[in-house]
Amino acid sequence: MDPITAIMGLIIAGILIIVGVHLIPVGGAPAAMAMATGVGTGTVQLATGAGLTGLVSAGYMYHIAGVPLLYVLLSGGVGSMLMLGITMLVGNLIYIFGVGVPPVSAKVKYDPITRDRQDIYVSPGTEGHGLPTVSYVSGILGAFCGGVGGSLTYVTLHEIGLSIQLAAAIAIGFFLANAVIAAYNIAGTIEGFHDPKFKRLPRAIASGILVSGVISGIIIAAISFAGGVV
Amino acid sequence: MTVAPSSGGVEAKQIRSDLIAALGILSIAPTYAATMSHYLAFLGGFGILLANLWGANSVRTVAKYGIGTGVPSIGMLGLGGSIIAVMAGLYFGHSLPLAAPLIAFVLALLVGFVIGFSARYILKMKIPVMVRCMVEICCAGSLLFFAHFATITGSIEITGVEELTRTGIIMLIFIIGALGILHPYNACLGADENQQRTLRLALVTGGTQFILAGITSILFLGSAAIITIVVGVLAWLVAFRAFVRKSFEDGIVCSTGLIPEVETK
Amino acid sequence: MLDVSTGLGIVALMGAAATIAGAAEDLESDIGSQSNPNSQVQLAPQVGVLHRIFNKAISGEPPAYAFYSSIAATVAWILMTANVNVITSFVVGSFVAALFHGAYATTAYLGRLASQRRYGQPIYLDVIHNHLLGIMGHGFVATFCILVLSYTLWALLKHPFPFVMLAFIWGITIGAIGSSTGDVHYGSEREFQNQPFGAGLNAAYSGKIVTRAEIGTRSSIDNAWFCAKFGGPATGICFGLIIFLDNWRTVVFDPRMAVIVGFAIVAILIAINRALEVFARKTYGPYPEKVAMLGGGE
Repeated sequence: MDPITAIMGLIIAGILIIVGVHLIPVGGAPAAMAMATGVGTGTVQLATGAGLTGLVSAGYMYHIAGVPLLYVLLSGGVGSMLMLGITMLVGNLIYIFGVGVPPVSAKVKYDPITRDRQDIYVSPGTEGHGLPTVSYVSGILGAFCGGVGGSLTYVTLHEIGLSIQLAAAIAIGFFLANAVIAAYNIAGTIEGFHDPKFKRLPRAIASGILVSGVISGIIIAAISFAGGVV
Repeated sequence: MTVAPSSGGVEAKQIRSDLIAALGILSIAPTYAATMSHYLAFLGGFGILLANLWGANSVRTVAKYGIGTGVPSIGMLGLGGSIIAVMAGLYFGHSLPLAAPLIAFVLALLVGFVIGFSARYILKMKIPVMVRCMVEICCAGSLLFFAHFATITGSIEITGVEELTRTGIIMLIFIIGALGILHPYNACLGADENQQRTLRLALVTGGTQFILAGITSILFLGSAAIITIVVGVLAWLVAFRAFVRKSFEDGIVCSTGLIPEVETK
Repeated sequence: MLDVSTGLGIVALMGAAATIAGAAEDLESDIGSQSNPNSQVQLAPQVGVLHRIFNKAISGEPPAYAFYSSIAATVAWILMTANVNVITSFVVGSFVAALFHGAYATTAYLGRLASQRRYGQPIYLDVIHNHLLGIMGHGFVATFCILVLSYTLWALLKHPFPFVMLAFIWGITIGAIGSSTGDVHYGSEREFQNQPFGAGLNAAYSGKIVTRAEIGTRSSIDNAWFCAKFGGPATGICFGLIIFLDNWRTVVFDPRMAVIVGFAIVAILIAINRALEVFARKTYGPYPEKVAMLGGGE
């Protein structure tokens, strides 16, 4: 694989990861107390969990099955979607049966996808709770982007000559760097693509292009200098 | 039991960040020393302690401004950037192993600068020290990696690192390093946090890494690993006692008791 | 490639290990209050609520579990290369990880509470004594099961990633899952047990956690009893389902069908979520005061 394609691949992967993190609904600490809509955990933590699950699926597909690149990337995306989908579903189960609240958002009056009324179901003194359909779908899309981004990073790094294990280790580091930049942009919590904070995405993409570009430049330069795999 | 109002509101003298950064950079010396013989590999552990101290202090400096997503992310980010710089440094320096840490340090500087610059000026985070601290965390991370390599494999050459990667132990170094630099401030978070206690805890987490590096070096150095483990346990014990003693001084300690009544304001 | 029946047996074993790991992980993070609900425990002294809860602040759960799993996997790996029996290696590895877990938990408790002196929050040494072994024990179980899971994936399904790296990845994943599902049960239902069931936490009650129990003061060790009724098993089932479904589709189907089946499962999940949402809205209904204030109607 020539260096320019590799750098482009890594930059695209970085952008996908950043977009994915912006789409995943995260409510942070308040959501764990049913005070905010979204999954009750931290942005980086959840995105990394989903992305790395996708990476495991993609790694398996890439080496065992010997399938075309598209299926490897899709497999990474599917692994990530499954992880986040089941997590969000069980989370909703706990909100509905454990806490006794319907999943609603406080940021919009009507759910953009289902057109359900939201504000009258929000508990007083809270910013919503649970995962309404719009947040759920947003999360699935986000997990897909993150999974594909992580898998693309891994495949690109392996194609330019790094060993399986090294490519995976660097892919994890690369994923974390991009996920944290996206998390800094979000500044804590986001409900999905309907959240006003989602409009901040272009800034994060600009950051991502810069950071991913520099990082991929360093990696490609180092490998070319060492003449491929040492 | 009513509780007396808190005392000790005067901030103890702060150790200058520049001094700690210098100590952190000095960690390269024991790292180089550790590569000279398998029986000297334990010296790399002191490199781990110093680099970890530097990283933890930088995390403390930047987190005191309140970074929103929390302290754990910055530790993982720092080590994530460092691992890339370290790998690139090893590749650039594959024909000249002793230069690899220096090349990695410069690359970590670059990576940290780019990330800090993006966070401060593109994402407009209102943290004045962001760029400097991001640079410090990534550089400390790169030195921490090399100190680990020296302690575990007895060399900083790419062949040893490739073996670490093949077995996946590189991820162990990543996570113990990340937790090593983020745990001190995160565990001491609070209104009465002070640098003395946080840095002692940084030495404790460095000691933990020292012990773990020693255990892992059984794979590479055989019986010479015992020296590293013993020295590591001693270092950990000294640091842990110091931390516990400081916590007992700083906090209100009782062996048991009911919840005290708070004077209503 | 393995034949389907062997593959399914392996996947079922992995699913079972994952379920136990998930449940143990969640209960451990409830005994030592960690991650997001811990923010309320941290806030409590500031609003005048002193407590005897184990404030264990070891980063979030994902890095913490990646930490324990990686240590356990490395020690197990060292023993396995010395030809020690696999199960024995896992036990020793998980035990070593539990020791470090205990050390970090102790430093977190001491550090956080020493920094809350000005609110009058005491550091109770007996809280450490009573809870540390429970924390370490649950962590041991969770770590052991993660090792079983990673080893099965690596050795039997021949995954290309190394054993230690797989343990690291599953550590992060299990932390993310436990933090998202079971912790909600702990955070909203147990920490605020005096608030009525059927509402989210009103922001006015932030920090006012329950500190007195049925008899005496609330101890974190009892949280395991409470959360084992729902939060713990739910987390276990969540992680078990993820492992089972993700590996089932790759073992049973060829690659192209596996991706299509994956998309189909996701579509079913979205449908189930929607059904649950509709059920909840219909069963619980809107808040009457909000309907009056904001105008009714769907």
